[in-house]
Amino acid sequence: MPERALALELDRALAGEDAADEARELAALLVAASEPSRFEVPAAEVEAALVRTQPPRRAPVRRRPRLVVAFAAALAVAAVAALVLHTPTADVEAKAAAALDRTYFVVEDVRPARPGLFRATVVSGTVDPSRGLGHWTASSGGDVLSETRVEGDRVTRWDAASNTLTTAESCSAFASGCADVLDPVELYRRTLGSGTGEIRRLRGGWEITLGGGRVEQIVTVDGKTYLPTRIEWRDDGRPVSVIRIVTLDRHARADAEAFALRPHPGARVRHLDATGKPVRVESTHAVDVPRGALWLGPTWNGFLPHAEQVRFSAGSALRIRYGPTTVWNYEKVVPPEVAAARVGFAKTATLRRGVVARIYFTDRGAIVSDVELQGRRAAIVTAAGGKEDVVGAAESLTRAP
Amino acid sequence: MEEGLDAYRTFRREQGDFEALFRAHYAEIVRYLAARLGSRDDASDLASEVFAEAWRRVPGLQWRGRPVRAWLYRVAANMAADELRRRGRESYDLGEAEAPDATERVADRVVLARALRELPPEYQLVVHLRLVEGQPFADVARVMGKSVGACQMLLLRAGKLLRESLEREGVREHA
Repeated sequence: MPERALALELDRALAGEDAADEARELAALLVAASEPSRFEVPAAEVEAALVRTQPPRRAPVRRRPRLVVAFAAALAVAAVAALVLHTPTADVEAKAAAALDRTYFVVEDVRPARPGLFRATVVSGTVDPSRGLGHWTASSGGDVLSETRVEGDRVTRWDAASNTLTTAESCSAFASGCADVLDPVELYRRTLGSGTGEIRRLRGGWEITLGGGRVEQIVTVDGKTYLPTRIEWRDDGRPVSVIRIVTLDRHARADAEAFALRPHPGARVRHLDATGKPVRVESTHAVDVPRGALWLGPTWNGFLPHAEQVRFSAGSALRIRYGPTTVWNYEKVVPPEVAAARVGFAKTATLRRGVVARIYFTDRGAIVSDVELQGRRAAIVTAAGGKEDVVGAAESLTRAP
Repeated sequence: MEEGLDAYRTFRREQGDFEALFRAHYAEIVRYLAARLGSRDDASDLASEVFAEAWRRVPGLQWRGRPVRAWLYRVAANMAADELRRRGRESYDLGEAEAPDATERVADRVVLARALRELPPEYQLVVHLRLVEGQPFADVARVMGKSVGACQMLLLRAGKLLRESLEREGVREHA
């Protein structure tokens, strides 16, 4: 087998997929050789090492009294000037925030300020601030680089380079942190509320400078609509990137499809807890079906319910099994088997009671239906059967007495 | 996992927050150095030196499209090479890596660990990033400054070299 093909087979073998014998042999060897290095470094050891490594902070410099007096005088003058010359900072920021306080569809052209800093990208997506929903796609040269969905705290991001879908219960699980999973306009919208803006009047609009940190956002806002038209990022005063808002349309509301991830067949699924570690099952114990849980009744297709409280490292969920059909009740943590199904093709179905459900068709033929009913969220996983079976089960969901 | 602007943002944030940088990457640098040096204690000491250097130099780094992690690994690799040269020998202290109940397996592990340490540093790094840290190849490529395909080939050659070493030592199966 050619080396290139064998290298790909090795990658498959390491992912636990079917692969050629030689690739599996090499994978086993590499896994065994690297095993001694797979040890945890306790958090206490990290903190102790940090204390040892970090040089002591410098003592604060004592300022001369004369300078302090001069500084105080300057402050007083500035305060008087602020009273006399009323600045419209708060008004403009409030109007700019209000302009984006409804569902909007945006297309952004993101370019580096200097060649070579990063690839020019186009970001397009939809945000519904009132529901905490967002969905963006970043592409370059016609190739999709990433797709991100935000739902409240939960973030799901697909990365094209590795064909990996990462679901995290909190933005902090991503190495880049919460702010960095947002697209530039949404980051601007969220920063607007911080009250750190400086305003400058331009012909036909305003310039808002946000962020006192190393990276500043300099946002050009239209004088009539108060919508952003251009965002420039500066680092230590030097431009890093320029984001041109190509389209920004506001709508009363967007339907669920606008926030749905596209299918990514064959994608690897990583499900992270808030610390960035993979979600794992910590314990499982049998329970009676709790009052109010969504279930399929005392029997389903002749099967009795078996309920278990499953504790994951990111939270817990209730699993009720009826033979080959499983009902998951969950809130904070999406059970991994449900999260894993979300890479497949999906359809939205409206059930008899007007309830909207998402149905996913997975590689293994199992179908998952996400249902929000009476303030609770459930998913139904069927190891056998088809769309009609899972829709039938979803329509039969009811609160346990 | 990050592309374009996101990667840049992470770079700048880590550059400006030493404690966050330390907490995010200290453990993986210790693991990497433990494999290179064959000693967990030496790895901890050297990792502290890597981060002391980071405290001095990371704030002045220029963004060239690679994460701060890439710089940390490069410094760690250089320091490990210096340390190995200084010692003029290799240590085979496996520390907590020993299996408690299988003497033969421990012997095989010693041979395996030594074979891994004898690989070229670039091969050791790709094994570490992919198999110890579990990074997808896209991230491995960013840290190593190579293409995904080149990193996959490096890993394949690392596996083949390990196999040759074991055949020379008369150890065959390590599933």
